Amino acid sequence: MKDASAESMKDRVAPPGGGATTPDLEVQGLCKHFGSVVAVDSIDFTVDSGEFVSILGPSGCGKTTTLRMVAGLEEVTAGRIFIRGRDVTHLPPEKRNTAMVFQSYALFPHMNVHDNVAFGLKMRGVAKAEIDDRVAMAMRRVRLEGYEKRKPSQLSGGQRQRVAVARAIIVEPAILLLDEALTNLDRRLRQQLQLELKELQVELGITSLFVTHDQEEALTMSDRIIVMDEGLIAQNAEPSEVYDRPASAFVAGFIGESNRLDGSVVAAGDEACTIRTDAGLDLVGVHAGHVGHVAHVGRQCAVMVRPRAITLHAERPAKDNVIEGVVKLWAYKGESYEYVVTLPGGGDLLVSLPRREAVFERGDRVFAAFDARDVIVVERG
Amino acid sequence: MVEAATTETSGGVSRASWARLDRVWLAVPAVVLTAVFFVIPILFMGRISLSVHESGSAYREGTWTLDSYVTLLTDSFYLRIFSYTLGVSLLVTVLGLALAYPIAYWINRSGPRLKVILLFAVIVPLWTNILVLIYGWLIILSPGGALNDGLMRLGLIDAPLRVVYNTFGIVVGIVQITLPYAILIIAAVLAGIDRSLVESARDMGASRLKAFLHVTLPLSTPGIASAATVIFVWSMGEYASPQLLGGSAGKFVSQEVSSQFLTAFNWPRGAGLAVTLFSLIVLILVVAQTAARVTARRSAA
Repeated sequence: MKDASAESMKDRVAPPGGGATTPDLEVQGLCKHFGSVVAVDSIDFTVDSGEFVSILGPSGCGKTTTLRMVAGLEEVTAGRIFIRGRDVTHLPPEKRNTAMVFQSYALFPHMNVHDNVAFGLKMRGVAKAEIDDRVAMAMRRVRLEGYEKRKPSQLSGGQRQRVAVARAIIVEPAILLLDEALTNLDRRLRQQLQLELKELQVELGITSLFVTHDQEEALTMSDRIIVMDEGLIAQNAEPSEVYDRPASAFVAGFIGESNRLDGSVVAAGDEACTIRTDAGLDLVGVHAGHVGHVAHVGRQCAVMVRPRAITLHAERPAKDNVIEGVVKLWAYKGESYEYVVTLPGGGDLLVSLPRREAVFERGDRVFAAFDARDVIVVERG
Repeated sequence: MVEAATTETSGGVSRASWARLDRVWLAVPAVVLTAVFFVIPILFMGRISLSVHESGSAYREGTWTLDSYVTLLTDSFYLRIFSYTLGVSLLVTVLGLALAYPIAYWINRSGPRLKVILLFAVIVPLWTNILVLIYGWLIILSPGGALNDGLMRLGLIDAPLRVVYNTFGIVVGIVQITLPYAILIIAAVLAGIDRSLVESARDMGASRLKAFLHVTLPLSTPGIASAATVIFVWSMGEYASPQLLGGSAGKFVSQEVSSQFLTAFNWPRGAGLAVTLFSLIVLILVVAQTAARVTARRSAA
């Protein structure tokens, strides 16, 4: 974890008096092997009280396995898990005080909505009158009053998702675990429920660990994003930092679309440096801060440029960092136009223009320009 | 099979109706077989049971009487046979389920390799003739058999245990015969239960036992009901096990049917016994199913 993001996080969520409070979840050197396959390879992270943290990554990166180990549904190969300071590594799931929202929602088909939501409290031996009160409150929270007598099979996908959330929050878990909890919904409903869920989480101040492969969902909902790749944490930072300053080519490629130009550092100053791409183009004025630990001369690196950071011109503009190319194709995307520009040295450049500023057709010669401040330089990987 | 037929021929109204026709035609052989070999003989049986018995011949054709039913429903000899058959069948059903469920549960929880081995072990007895199975039990259970011999050599018992030629022997036989079916039925239902439901229950604070009682068990009741039906119906009509493993403790209805037809040569009474047994089974199944439906509706409300 980067110090800066950790600090700002504590400012925002720590209870009064506390830079030194115990995190709600702490994971140390966590490993999971399935036979000879390493699913999770010694990862460390924490989730502070009230924080909403997403684990983001492609399928097979180990994110769901990590979540299941936290819940106690998967044995740990090595490492330790602490929930509110208590070592739960070898405790059965029912003794961890976690609550999970499954991708399939896992509602009990033989129970009605009320009994589903009441289940956790019933297992905890809460008195019936209190259960009924709290179920009513949870149903209000997820705006499903009046659906108590229905069976899960009589609900829509969005309603089932809400029941699953109600069932989880009612037990006031130390940590709410969400496993691709919105993935099975259609796009519009998903966006609506993202906001609802986030609102509920902030309102209740419930510590949450959310697993998703959807980068947009992670950016929208999280206080912090842990990007995982092949069982390792690729980056652990606030959403804006993950987006603007990805720690690796993998992160840059996974979060949002990027054009990638491989090259190496040919001149390094205090403020700015020059990177020569393999196609022979010199990118000057690249901010040294963006280059970070790859800033010495001769170092191989990858330059990532977001499609929106690029402009297209019919005449060569009087700027640095202009690449000449030919329009291969374009597509109307509603809010923007997307162009694919073929570069002379081979490879394509994806360019997204907010509106059709200039008309380019297939085969047109264009000049693509971008500001050196908008590029991201990462290690080749 | 029905699904496949629909998909293959889908693509148009006429094709859909063809598919529906196909389905009807596909059922024809089964309907014909059932009618010729089951429905018609049962109707014959019903007719014979209503005929007058005549010593020296099976029955007098063209006569009508309720004599055989009056005898069956009033004579304590027959009532005892029915109650013994019913009692043993209920016992067999309970024991069969108690044995089949844990095995099915184990199979379902096993890894893929062990699962194949266990399923194979369950299916093997189905390839073996029932009489061979029963004679196998005779070898094991008889007074001088393997079980008693072993126990006596170990010094655990002084005299042979009476474990065959009595109710115990019959129970062992029928449980053995019906167990593979019960296991396969329950295992299939257990396999259909989404694993995440149990995980979710555990995560919600249920111990392994509570998750089983609140989630797995209620969701597997259809399997338990089907397995119970198979065991019970089989047991009610069982002939070989009571004939070979039973003793003086009681007689099964099927044994009495056989002796009425073949020994006493009283066809109306034998047929009456068969029809009464058949009706009794249907009645019990209907009552059980209705009770189950009412309970389910009450718990849902």
